[in-house]
Amino acid sequence: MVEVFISSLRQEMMWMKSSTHKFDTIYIGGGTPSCLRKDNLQSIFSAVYEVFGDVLKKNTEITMEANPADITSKTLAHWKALGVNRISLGVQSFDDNTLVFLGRRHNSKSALCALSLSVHGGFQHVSCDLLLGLPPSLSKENSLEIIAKAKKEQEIAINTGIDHLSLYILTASGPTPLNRMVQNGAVSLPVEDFTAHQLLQSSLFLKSRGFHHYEVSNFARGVTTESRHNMKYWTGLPYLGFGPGAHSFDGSGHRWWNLPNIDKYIESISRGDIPPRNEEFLTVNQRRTEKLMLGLRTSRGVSRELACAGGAHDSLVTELIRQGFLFSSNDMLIPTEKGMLTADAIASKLS
Amino acid sequence: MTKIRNFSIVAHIDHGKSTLADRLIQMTGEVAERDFRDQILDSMDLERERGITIKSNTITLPYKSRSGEEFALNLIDTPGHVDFTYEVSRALASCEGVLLLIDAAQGVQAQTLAHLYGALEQNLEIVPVINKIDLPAADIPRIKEQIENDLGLDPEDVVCCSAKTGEGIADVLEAVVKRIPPPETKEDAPLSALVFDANYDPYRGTVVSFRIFTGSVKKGDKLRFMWNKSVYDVEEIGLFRLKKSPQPCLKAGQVGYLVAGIKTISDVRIGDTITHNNKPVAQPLPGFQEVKPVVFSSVYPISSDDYPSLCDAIERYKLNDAALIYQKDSSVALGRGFRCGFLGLLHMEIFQQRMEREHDQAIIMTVPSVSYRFTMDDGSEIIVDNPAYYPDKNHIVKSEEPYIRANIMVPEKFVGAVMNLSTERRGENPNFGYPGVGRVEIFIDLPLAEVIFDFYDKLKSSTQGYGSFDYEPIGYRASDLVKLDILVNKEPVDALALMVHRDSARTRAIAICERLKEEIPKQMFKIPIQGAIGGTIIARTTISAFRKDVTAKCYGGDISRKRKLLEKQKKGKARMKMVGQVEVPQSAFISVLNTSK
Ligand SMILES: Nc1nc2c(ncn2[C@@H]2O[C@H](COP(=O)(O)OP(=O)(O)O)[C@@H](O)[C@H]2O)c(=O)[nH]1
Repeated sequence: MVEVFISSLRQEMMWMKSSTHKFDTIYIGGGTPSCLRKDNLQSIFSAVYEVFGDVLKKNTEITMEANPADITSKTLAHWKALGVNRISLGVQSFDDNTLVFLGRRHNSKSALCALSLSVHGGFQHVSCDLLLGLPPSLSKENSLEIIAKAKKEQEIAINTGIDHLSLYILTASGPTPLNRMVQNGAVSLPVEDFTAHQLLQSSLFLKSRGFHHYEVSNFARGVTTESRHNMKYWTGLPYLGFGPGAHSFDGSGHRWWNLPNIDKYIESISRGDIPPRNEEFLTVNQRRTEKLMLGLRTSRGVSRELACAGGAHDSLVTELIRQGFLFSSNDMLIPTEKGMLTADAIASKLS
Repeated sequence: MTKIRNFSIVAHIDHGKSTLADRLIQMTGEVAERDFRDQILDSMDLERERGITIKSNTITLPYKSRSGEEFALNLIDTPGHVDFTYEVSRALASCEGVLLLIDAAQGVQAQTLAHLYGALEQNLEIVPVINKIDLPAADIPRIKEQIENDLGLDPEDVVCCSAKTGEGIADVLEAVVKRIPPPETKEDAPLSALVFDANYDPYRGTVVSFRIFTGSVKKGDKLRFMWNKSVYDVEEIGLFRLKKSPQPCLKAGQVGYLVAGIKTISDVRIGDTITHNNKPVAQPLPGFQEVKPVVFSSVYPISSDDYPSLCDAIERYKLNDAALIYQKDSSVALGRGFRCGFLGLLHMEIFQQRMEREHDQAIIMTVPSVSYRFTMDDGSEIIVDNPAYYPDKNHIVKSEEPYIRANIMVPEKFVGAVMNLSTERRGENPNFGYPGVGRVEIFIDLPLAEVIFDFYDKLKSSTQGYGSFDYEPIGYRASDLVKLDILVNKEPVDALALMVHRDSARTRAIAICERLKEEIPKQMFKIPIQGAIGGTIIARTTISAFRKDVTAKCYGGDISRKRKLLEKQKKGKARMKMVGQVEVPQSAFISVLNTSK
């Protein structure tokens, strides 16, 4: 089964090869590729190198999304041998109760261990995901203590020597067990104002430790440690995605994505058809909305020209600057911390 | 030759006027039992629902008296609400007598008295009728006492009936022919006829209801409407049977309708005198008045796109309601609309409901206002009914507002409650009358503006429903008026401005600010909401800013969905009204305008 899937992947890559120029990032993620068997992972990498070898740049960033529970020095050595040079670990928390609540396979100890092993395993970059905005009921602490505890977790993480941190805010939406619990009142999530405060406090703390806030949820030690791959999403560069549910974008206005059903994915490829997918062709306005929405998430910001829309938004932009949501640097408008946290609202106003 | 009786039924609301009318129609055989629909005279749905007659209908009933004489009984229906006092007076002017209907359990109420006075003014024969004698709570001796003491009428003359069971209805009919005098019938004199009602018929134009006092009229006559100074050729005249019944000729004493190619109902004025163009009467009939609106409000479409449809609807509505006046109006916040003048709050409410139900309009109406009078330092006088035109306060020498004299009738134990309410509403000069044991009649002068601001509801609730209320205008009185501005993010919102007495300004301002705070969603910036008189802030609330509006994760697979969400929100915002940089949802206006009514 896995073998069939991998050969489908290879097939899809071959079909899509013609639509790419040279590129310099690869991201193996979505779900938990780290639990793939060694030989399966090997086949995937072989397929990538075989199909795209001639368009791969030197210095390609190759990221592997990994579950701390799957990390051993052996797997790490194998990944390194395959060319992986960046690891992103879904740690989420160093609190065992929280990890149980989140249904994770690892505990705080194995998480810490996975981080250290990765850092010492010779990978250029190691990133750790942590969660903010956990249900207050999980701990008996008051809000000050909750914030202090979050900082403590960040401290633990960066002390392992990692150079990148993603802070996500736990949200309940869609048909997830968490959302059901929130809906029926079994669990309550902190109010947005509190999580905003928590994120701001974390950002201040991380800054003091040399991590800059370069995207709503992402912090890096130095510019070169930012996730080059993810940055492409936010700056509107082209990318190709393979596998069920993967999204691709041509960098100008064409986006398409495979439907998530894996059986249909395999079936149509085996028939010689491209997998079932949806697509969209962005209008000029939609493209503009996306540029605003994505650009304002990052410390790159958006160009003043784009934001002002030929003068239509001049006074609004002035007001946003005056109120400390944006600042102006050369011909770019850069969100402040406060601005990043309200990026969607600003984008909506400017779009 | 059949004899004629012209009469109306008048009563306090709910005492059974419509039910009795139906019963009379049924008893005289004008409608077969199987066709009998309850309350035929109240033809509009809205009237049926509210239980009040808005647009009157008239009917001619054939009746053979006990002595065997043939009669044509013209039952002239009257609108049953204070907003329409003038229309009622014209209908009564077309009669020789009235049945003054009194509920056997409730007894004499404020409007019973008002109607009595109205009928006396016209020198009408008054037949007191006690209705609902079938009720277990009916107390005929007590009501007779009230009739004698409160109304000064002879209790011997009282007719008792139940419009519900039909008991006593035959006596009522007999009283109509015996007690109410026949009309004079000077057929040879020049034509003089009173217009007491007009209805719009989409196929025939305006149908005029009229009563001939002298002379006669026939098809083809050239008629002059004396006040209006217009001339029309009669296309059809006739009697009001259940359906209109055309006649070759109508004569003095008769009540009927005429169709004369009159395009709109506004071309006819209630109370006008009709005469022959080439042989006019010397004098028009007395009592004509221009109807003047007393309550004003602006109407806007909820969605600005619907303005053309609102234009159509208001024109169509106007065909049937000559009392409505309107002109174009516009508001920065709500766009284009109309400033409307109404005879009273009920009239306004009827307008609103009919626009919504019959004309399918989604509308917002601004807080009703009365018309204020300002004397300026150059000696000129201006009348202002729209806060947008509030004059420069530095040049105002005197401000005045219209007052009414309320006549409130309550059981003794509620006098305190009524006085509290009236004082709260700036009532002045209370006078008390004690028409009967345990009952008090309170006369008190009140600003009309306070009365249109839910006074009647408050009166009802503070007297457990026993308080009854009537009023008459008594002119302008000096008053300390101010214009209350509501500012959102420091910008005045024109549609929310009010003219109020200085003493109520703060309470009103606080209420509005609080409501806006509830209705306006958090924004990116802190938004002050203020109530101000001139430059002085008298109330304030603040809409706090949200601190976070961004999704945590946005990678390749999330972008399309996120953009669509943003586009959707943007669409929702387009429906909001922009006040400065603030998106104010329509619901905020509706909520403020509705509750501060
Ligand atoms: N029991 C009883 N109820 C009556 C009688 N006449 C009218 N009603 C009821 O009193 C209410 C008001 O009557 P309606 O004719 O609408 O009053 P209007 O407002 O004066 O026209 C209705 O519910 C009628 O059914 C009556 O003789 N007996």
